[in-house]
Amino acid sequence: MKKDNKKSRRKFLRYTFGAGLGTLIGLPLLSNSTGHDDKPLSGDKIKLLTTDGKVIEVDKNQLQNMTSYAKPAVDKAARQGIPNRKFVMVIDLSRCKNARACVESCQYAHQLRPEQEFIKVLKMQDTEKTAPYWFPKPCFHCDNATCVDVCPVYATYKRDDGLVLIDSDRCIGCKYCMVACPYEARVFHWKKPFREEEFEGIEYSPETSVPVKQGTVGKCDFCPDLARNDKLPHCATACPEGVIYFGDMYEDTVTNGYETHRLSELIEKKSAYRYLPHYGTEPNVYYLPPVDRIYPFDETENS
Amino acid sequence: MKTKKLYTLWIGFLGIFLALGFYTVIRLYTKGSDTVFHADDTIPWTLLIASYVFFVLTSTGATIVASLSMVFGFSRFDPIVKRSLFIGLIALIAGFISMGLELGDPLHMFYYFISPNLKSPIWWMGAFYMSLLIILSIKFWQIHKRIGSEKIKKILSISALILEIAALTTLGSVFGFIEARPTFFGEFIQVYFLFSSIIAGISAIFFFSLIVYKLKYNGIPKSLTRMYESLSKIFAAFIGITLLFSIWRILIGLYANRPEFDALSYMVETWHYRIEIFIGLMVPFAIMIIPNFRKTFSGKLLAAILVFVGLGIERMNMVMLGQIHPIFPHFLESESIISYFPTIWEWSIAMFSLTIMLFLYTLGEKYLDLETHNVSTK
Ligand code: SF4
Ligand code: SF4
Repeated sequence: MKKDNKKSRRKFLRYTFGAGLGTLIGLPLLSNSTGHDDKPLSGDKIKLLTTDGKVIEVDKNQLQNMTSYAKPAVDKAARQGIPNRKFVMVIDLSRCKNARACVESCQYAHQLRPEQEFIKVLKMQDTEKTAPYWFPKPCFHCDNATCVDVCPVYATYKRDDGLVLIDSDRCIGCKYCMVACPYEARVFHWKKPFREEEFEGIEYSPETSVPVKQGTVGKCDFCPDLARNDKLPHCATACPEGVIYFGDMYEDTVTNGYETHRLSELIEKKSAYRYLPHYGTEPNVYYLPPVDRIYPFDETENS
Repeated sequence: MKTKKLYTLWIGFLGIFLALGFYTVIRLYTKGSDTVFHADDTIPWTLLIASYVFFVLTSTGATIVASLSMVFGFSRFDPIVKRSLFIGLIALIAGFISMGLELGDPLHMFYYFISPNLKSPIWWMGAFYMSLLIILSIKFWQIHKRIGSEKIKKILSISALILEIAALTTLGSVFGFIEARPTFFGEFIQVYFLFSSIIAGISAIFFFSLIVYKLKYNGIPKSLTRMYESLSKIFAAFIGITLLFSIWRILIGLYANRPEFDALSYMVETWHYRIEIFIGLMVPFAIMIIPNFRKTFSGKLLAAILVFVGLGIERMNMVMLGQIHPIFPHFLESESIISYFPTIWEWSIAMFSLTIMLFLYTLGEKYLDLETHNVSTK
């Protein structure tokens, strides 16, 4: 039963991927696929994800703005955060098999080049005697973030909802944050942005981190534009193994899309820990240790 | 006639590097930073940060030397005040050029003024050095035009010295405060910067003034030999202190029980680190403490050149020391040392900064009469 669920989930994800751009950039969503006005069909099809999780192709002229869709915040609103939320991520290391779906979906949504990764999957080994394991590493959205402290122009900032975001319209590209982050969570946009034409004309928001600006810094943003619409970050949705849980500290709840847990219970019962906590950065990403592994560690695995 | 020929040759030489520098700048802004920089996220700070540190610390040192007379009243050093201040000024400009070209998006710099983060060491460092640029310019202009009341002159001199020390220690904190990178050497680096900036300043003053004396008077003018002898002794003392700190830095690093210090074990084995210590400090120290060498023109010039070049390499080693070790202790696949060698274009920009400094100095020497006294050749 569980397996079936997974299968259909995978299929769903593959489609979401294709439609991801439409969702991500806040294009008008489909409200009425039968058409709502007299505009003639343009012949230009677009893939979209419906609210019940189906991917459909519709004519561009059939799109209509939905008032309930929350657009990514810009300017001041993007600095304040989503009220009464405190986001948290839990990564279950016992499930990760380096499928790299998280990496790819994140790269796609954030206009990254193939060599750029906001979330990395690293091969880790604690001691020579212990087994290696895969370690997905996003930005930890630290409560006491060194990157925020060192940024001379407040291009990197901490929001009330716990997120640490970057405003590329402000970043001077000094790279101090990159040197100061103890987790090497940041990437620099050295090169001309990838897929530039696709993102042309889209309003920039620190919540989406697109369109990418060359000469500035980027990093995992926890996809707050999706959170505004009660959706999980791209990585969590894409992971076929349900490794990545996302949720709210105030609600003490995290979910990977098909399992929901109390955060406090996971921390206590599964001995969740934070990575290199001795830096005093207070990360908001917890790891469940790689015990009782679902898959044996396989270096060749990459699918 | 011979001097004129030399001058034309010199300007031509500078012209080549200026042209190359301008080409690189155009390349940077039209083709993108990846075509100029090493472009690796694990080494975010490249040669240009080292070159920035090199120039601004040279500026600090030169201003501190000028302060011997301006602030502390050692009139023996009066003759080099104007030249030292000028070197302080042009080295700062060269530093700003390196830093400005390192920035990914300098057009956003206005946020530096309208949205300052007072917690950021880089913000303070920028504020101090920008204020210094203004104060040093006014100060130099006052001396050049022989204007300004004594009181204002004194206030400016003291402010310049305080700002230099503040800027220098803040620059140290830019590196030293990074907890995850202990090989930037925490507070230690601030003290090291102070001493090494003094020798940087003196070496620049020696280098520039000695060459001018050679061309103009075929040696150090008699009336200035005592001053240069005193300055040489100060030079010797501070090279010695810097050397001592460098040795301590190695020892602290080698005995430290943290994996990051593998970077140091690696670094001490490299040719560039050896040049920094042996050629950049030990040899000039020996030259400066042995009177027979110290008193000669060529001894001084050679020591100055060795320290100047050695410090250039030291700044590079320092910036790399903090970055070449990956900060993931558990990551098996990470290389134990990340390799980096500046690209030809990074060299070109660093040379561009140096060339601008040399060019400005040439103009200064020609048009601004950097000699404070009428020196006698007898
Ligand atoms: S992981 Fe690094 S980039 Fe992310 S918030 Fe913490 S210090 Fe900043
Ligand atoms: S690179 Fe950009 S975000 Fe990072 S510290 Fe500099 S200005 Fe801030």
